[in-house]
Amino acid sequence: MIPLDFLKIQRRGRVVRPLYLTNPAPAGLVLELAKSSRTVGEFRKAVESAGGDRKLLSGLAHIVERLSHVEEVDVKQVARVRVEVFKTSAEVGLALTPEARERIFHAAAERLKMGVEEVKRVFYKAYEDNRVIVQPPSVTPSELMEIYNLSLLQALLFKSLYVDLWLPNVATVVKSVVRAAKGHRLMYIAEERDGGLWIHFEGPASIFRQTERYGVKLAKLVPYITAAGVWRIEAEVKLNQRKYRLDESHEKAPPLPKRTPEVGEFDSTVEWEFYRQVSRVCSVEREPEALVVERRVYIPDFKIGDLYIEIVGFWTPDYLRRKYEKLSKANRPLLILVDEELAAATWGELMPNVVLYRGRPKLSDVYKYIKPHCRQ
Amino acid sequence: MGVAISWDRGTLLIEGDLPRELRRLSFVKFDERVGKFRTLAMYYPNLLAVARAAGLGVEDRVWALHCLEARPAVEVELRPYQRQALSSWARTKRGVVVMPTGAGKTHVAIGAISLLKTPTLVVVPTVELVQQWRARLVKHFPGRVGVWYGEEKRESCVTVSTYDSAYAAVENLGNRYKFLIFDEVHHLPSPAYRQIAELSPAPYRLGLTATLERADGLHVDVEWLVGPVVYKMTPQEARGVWTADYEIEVVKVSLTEGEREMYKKLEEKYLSLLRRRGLKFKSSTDFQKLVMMSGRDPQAREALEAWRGMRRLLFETEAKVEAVRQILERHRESRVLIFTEYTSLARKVSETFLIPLVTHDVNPREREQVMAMFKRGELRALVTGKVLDEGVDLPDVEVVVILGGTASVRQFVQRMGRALRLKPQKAKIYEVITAGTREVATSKRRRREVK
Repeated sequence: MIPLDFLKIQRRGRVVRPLYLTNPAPAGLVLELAKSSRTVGEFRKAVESAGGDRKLLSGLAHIVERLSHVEEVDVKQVARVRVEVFKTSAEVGLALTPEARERIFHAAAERLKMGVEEVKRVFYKAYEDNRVIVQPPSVTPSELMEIYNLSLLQALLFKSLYVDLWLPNVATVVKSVVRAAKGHRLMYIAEERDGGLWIHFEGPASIFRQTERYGVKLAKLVPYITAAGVWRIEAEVKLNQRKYRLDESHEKAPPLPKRTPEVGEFDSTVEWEFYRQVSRVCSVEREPEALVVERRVYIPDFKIGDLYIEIVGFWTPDYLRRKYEKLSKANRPLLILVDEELAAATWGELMPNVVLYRGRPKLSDVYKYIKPHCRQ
Repeated sequence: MGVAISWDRGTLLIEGDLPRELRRLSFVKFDERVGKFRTLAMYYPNLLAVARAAGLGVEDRVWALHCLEARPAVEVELRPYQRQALSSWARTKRGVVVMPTGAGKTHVAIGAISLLKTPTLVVVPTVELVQQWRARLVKHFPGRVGVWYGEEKRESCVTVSTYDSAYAAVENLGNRYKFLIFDEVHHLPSPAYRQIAELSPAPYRLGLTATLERADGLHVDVEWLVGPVVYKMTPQEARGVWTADYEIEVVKVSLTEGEREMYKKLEEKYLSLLRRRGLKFKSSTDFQKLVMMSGRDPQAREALEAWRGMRRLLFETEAKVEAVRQILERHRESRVLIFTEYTSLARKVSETFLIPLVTHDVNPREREQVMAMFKRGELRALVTGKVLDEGVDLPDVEVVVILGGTASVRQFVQRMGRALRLKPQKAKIYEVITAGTREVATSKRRRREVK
């Protein structure tokens, strides 16, 4: 992500779009400057004096700095050396002449048991710009351009009041976005429409006033969204006290990096174990498409034929009841597997299609339930 | 009949059969996303009051308090006027105390925590102030003081945070503290920071400041975010009695020949671009317009660049470093604090005279050590950007050098205030400005209310 100061946009009436970079040349230039600069400071100066579009170059430089491997500095040592120099300086009445300055460095070096040149070198390492660029980023100009364009879209959303998102109903994609949203403590409402899922993201306080409070969090969803390949983002963005519409999609935007969020990973070893066992006798679909139940997205763990299966680890009767109620509204056949040891309730409170397991679910526990749906 | 109120990320959810009295409150809304009624957390006391008046039972699930009781191990000793401020705040336990720098606002705050004995969140502008509040609070609440900011996040019964960190964390921390203290409360009404007050259910609130007024007029909002001004003491009332007397000396320096030429060039460019856009130089609203225009208009952008270049020249001229040398020579025995507008000049001063630097680009570890040493008297001088403008207590500073700043009266008063803790001798304030440039007028503007 780049700071808002470097955001480049185009406005037409009440519609706003990122002003994407379409020519990789500036990206190439900034990469070259990083390669030919010894320190971060030199790099920054080189970018500044390169002329041209300052916002664009600063934005690119920001990303390049972040992707570069910069010399690590022993912060403790730097602080120790500098404090010693300052203390010595205070004792002799400050470096009011160049000669006094030299004397102070010598005296401090002696106390620190270090060489004078070494003390001076460490002294200046306090500033980021004196640090050496060990390894400039190993991306091509086109790749940098893609990262930059993604960062522009994110920066524009910093000022968003909400985000509406359309995605194809593919479990891995929807799951990673919804998970990210939950991780950032955002709220959402989902709806099946236009051959996919529309999800509206905002925060708890959004119903009282339009607030940019959640903008930074909303922006953090973007890489998950664009990784879907097929997507659409609609948002309202507040810039200089005016509201603008943003309407972007994979068709309108230039190519963006396809950072693939964790695909096909199991939530737990329990699930993995179950999958391994059942898949021997049945064809099991991992992470089937999402169900929308009362505007919440719900992704069961497995699907066998048309039977959805959910493995519940820790639970309370209340949690289970709510989950069951929710799922029964989806009107889909469903089987819930519950760990007996973690169960906090008696048998009587369980729903009809709940199966308890000990330790980990075994094929024998569930075979009679899944058999009718099973296809080899 | 009754309702249950619970905390949800800066808001409150109200469940149960809501009677008309609650439903029609302007600040309560039905949230279709969750099928429950919701309100901003700050309305917690109002909600309770209405429910009580309607004879409604309330199940209060709002709080996850950090501790049961914040009882002071050592009581704070208050001066008579501090005691007066505290007791007038204590009537409603909401409100703002206005007191000049050096008059001991922190004492009033510690008195208020001791009075309420409830978990408290103190919000301050800078990391330096976090450290300072922590050091003060620890004396009265040993082992029960936490901090919450960028580098360090450890909550305790009384926690000190920055406005930035509190803004980001209020959804998570809000229901842990029943008492909010805003140091330098004039920062609060900004569109972002005010959310700390809005998304917290804390019924008890105290604001502290030397000058409540804001140029944008938003200070009126402090009244409903925190409470009305309950006590006010002006610098004139405090001068010489509770804070040191002072003397201001303006030192004029000249740009070097090369700098002067550069300045002229930039100024011509700036003025001609301004004229072409029909804007006036002196008007601050016209300057705002220029900033707005610069988004689309390349010429406006160029003008703004020229203006920045001019400022930079004025604030960073070599002559200012030389002026600092003379001041340091003149005050060999005094403790000196130097303020600059740009970090680059602060760095130049630091590197030339080997004076420690307290700015954002210096590691917090070093900053913290340096501040502690300065307070102990092991260092003679400090140079800083804007970090130390406010509130940080530097007890024995006798000389303040201001090398550049805005026309803001507030900033000037605050910087001066660093030298105004009560002490026998007069404090000396130097303002180093560049002769024959617009910095002269800026300096006049910022001093207009001080003499």
